[in-house]
Amino acid sequence: MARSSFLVAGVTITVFVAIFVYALVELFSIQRTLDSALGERNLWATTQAERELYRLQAALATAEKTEEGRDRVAFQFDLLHSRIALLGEGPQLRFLEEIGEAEDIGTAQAILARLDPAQSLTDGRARAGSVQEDLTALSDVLRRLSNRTMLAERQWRADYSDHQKSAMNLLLAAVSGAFLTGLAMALQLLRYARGSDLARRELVQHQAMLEETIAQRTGELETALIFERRARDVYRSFVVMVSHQFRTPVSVIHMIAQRQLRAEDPAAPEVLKRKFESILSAAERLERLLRGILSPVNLAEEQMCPALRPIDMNEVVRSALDQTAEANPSYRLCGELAEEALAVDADPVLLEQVVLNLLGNAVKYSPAEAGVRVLTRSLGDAAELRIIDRGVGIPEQSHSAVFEKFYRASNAQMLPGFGIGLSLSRDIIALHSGEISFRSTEGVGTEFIVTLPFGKISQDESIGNKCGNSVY
Amino acid sequence: MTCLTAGSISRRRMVLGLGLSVGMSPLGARAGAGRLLVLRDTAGAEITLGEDDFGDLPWQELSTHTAWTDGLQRFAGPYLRDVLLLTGQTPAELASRRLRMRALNDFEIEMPARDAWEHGPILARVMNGARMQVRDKGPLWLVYPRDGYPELQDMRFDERWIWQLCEIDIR
Repeated sequence: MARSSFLVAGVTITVFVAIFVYALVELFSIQRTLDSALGERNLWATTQAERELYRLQAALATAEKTEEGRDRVAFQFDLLHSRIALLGEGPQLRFLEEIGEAEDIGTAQAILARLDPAQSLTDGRARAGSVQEDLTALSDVLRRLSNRTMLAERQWRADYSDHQKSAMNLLLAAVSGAFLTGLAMALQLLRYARGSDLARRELVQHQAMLEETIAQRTGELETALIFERRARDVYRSFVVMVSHQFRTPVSVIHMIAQRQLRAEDPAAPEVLKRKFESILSAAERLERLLRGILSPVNLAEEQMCPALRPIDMNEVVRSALDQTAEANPSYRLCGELAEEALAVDADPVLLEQVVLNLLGNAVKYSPAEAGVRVLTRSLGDAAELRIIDRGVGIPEQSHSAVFEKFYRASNAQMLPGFGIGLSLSRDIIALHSGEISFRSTEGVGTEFIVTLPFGKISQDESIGNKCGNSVY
Repeated sequence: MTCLTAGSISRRRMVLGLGLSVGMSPLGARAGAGRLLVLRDTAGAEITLGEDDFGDLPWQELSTHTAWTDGLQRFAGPYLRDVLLLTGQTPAELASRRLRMRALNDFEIEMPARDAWEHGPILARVMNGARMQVRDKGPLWLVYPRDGYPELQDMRFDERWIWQLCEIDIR
């Protein structure tokens, strides 16, 4: 659209400029013609020749009476001669040629030669018939020249007037067109200026609105941040409280169970020993769980650095499976682990927390008889862990939020939990440069997939966290 | 191309070379025997200039085209201003005057006297090496350096090129 407008404007301007130039050339041509044209000069010259002829005839009337009279005849003849000579030379002659009267001027010059006073006018034959005839003939020639010159010049003036009018009209059209084009351009410019001004105002308005929105969003974010910090404080306080409240009794249970097992009391029945062993095992698990619960606190404080070392992911998964199976004897856990070792660089405690968390979720949201499948395999450059349940599944609308901290899906509200586990698992896997994802259909089941890159740390490079401030 | 010599040419040689044939020429019928020009100052005093008087003035050569002839024409004669100064008046006194110039056939024109200083016209006595006769445009033709100055290539200036000049009235 803009391109065609430019094209039209360009063509219009070019046309008007061309007309303008053409008109100027025409006018210049007219001016040159006028400058070089003899105009009424020809008429003047011919009438002057006629006049000198009449004055010669008048002089001839008195030529014989006095010497002065004869001189006057000769003088008048010279003047007439000069006038005829003028007509017979240069631009005057060309004009007569143009109007077809060149022959007449030749006739006039021939008559003039016969009338030369040295031969005829002053020798007493002035009144002779031949002289009178010549004078009459010359008069006729000059009269005809005057007449034709007058008509030709009149026609010439009319033609040039038309020519001039035509050029003036062209010039007028060009100037009018240029004016209209200029006006259109000025209007267009004005329109652009107004549009530009409007756009500028809108921009300023948008900028103001944007700043307002930014301020509003910033306020909202600040509010959200405050809530987040408060929630984190509450969570941390809660965890600290749990830590203090549970660790001591668990330690006591652990200690008592240990003492009972170490005491060499032969009276103790075998069945009691097995129960103490079971209590000891449970106490140790509880202590590990407490440590696991403490982990989010550290993560939230961003103080944790994983103590990476080369491990076999299968070992971690197997341990987690054992613990989960022990804690949930009625559940059917089916481990299908890769036969080869899946060497990854990982913090075994943190990674175990992830597997425990995922297995815990699978067990928690699945009926006991449905079973949970745990698979590991090598992907070539990474190890993959899949935990598949046939539980309640995750509603579609919750998919985007399951990894958010404290988020709980709508169908999980009735079951215990804080909405921390998946968020924590995601953070831990991210710390291991791995990925965690899931696919789930509500009412069908859920599959979580964890991939960790194969390890690059050799056994010799050691163990330990690189931050040096791990809480483990 | 206009060619106006800066200095005067050998006017005596020019006059002698042309020879004297004024005598009882037709010119004599108007200006009297031997007279070329009658110069009349503002007081009405007349100065009659003959061939010798013209010969005593510095002459200039001027080559130019004219509106009435074809090709380049060569003219020679004194500056008009030198002729005007023969009245004894100063250029300042003459600057505001007008000149009524009259031809042998009683044709008259009027022009500002300052032309004589601004444009340097000459009173040509000789054209293309020949002294001008009444039968051509003699005895005197006021000639402007037309080719060298575009402003002189104008009809209004062309009208001032009076030929067969015989009288100048300073008014």
